[in-house]
Amino acid sequence: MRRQSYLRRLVSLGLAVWLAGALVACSNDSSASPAPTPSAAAFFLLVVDIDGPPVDIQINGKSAGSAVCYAARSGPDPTFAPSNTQPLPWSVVVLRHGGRVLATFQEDGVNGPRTVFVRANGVTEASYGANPGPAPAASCAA
Amino acid sequence: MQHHLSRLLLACAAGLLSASTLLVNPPAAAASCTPPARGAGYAWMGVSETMSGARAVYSEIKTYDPFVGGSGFSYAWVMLPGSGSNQWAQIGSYKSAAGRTTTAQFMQQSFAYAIQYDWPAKTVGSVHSYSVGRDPATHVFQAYVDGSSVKSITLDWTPNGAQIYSEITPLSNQLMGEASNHETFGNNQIMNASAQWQTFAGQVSTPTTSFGSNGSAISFGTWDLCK
Repeated sequence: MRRQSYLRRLVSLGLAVWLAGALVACSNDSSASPAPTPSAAAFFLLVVDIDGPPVDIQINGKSAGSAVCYAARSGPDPTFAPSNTQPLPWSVVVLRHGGRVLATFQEDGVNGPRTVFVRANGVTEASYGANPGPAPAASCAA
Repeated sequence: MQHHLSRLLLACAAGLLSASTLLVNPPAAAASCTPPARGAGYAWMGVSETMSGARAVYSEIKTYDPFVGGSGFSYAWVMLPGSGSNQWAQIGSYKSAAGRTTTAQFMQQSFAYAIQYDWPAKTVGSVHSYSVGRDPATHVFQAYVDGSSVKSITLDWTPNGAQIYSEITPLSNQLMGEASNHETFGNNQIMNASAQWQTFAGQVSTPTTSFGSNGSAISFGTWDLCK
């Protein structure tokens, strides 16, 4: 008798869980969430110059590379990874090519790979695989 | 009795499983084009129109099931962008490693990240209308699917045009469409500051060695050449 009552409760619980799942599946709206972050692999920094000016990248005070916008190239975006000579943490400085500082970011590697987006209207930093927003402008920013 | 109840429990579990699976992974045809390792980065194929005071964008987008690997996404969308950094509102057909969804993203400078809303994906091959609009009086953005509002949100910026694109990251994911089955964006329209719909104008992205496109701003196709 006790076992039957236990099983009945189990069935009720199962039905409740199924109903909750079905309700979520049928719901028109959904819960908000941050745009998904892809798997947190070992840290690296991708610099994506979408439609910004040509930039130079400094890591911990040393020149690390440069990037130009999509309209001016077809090659891959530059990627930077820690090494024995360039261990984390990093102070990353994005400069207009040969000019002033546009942005500075601190990277400790804790949040997985990251991306720096260089746009005509500013420089931002986000998780690797993040949505950078609008498609590139037809020409690079001066 | 016990046997009967066990079967009932199993049925409940199966029901739950199928309900949660439907959320992100409805039945879909297999993607037929797997790109080579083209590296990190982003690619877009589509059209932009700059218009001060643009109030809405509209497109009828075919649902496609692209190849998506372990990270990033493939996304076919309509968007209202702003002129500043981190200003956009978009909705469309989306696929990540978690599966296909109908997805909207909203962003403004004060957000730490784009806020994303997901709904069950549409059937592969079916065409659905997607739209994002903004009421200049209330600053409320509304995202629509097939004419029904699915989300509204207040943002602090003003659109300066509209965009309609296929997008991927990284480049090892498949841009929506393949050579024999294009992703299509039809009846593309933009609503001007006087709240009048007009046909979309602008230059569709030029084909590259990796991605194809055809048509005009009003109706165009995109696809991945998978090379």
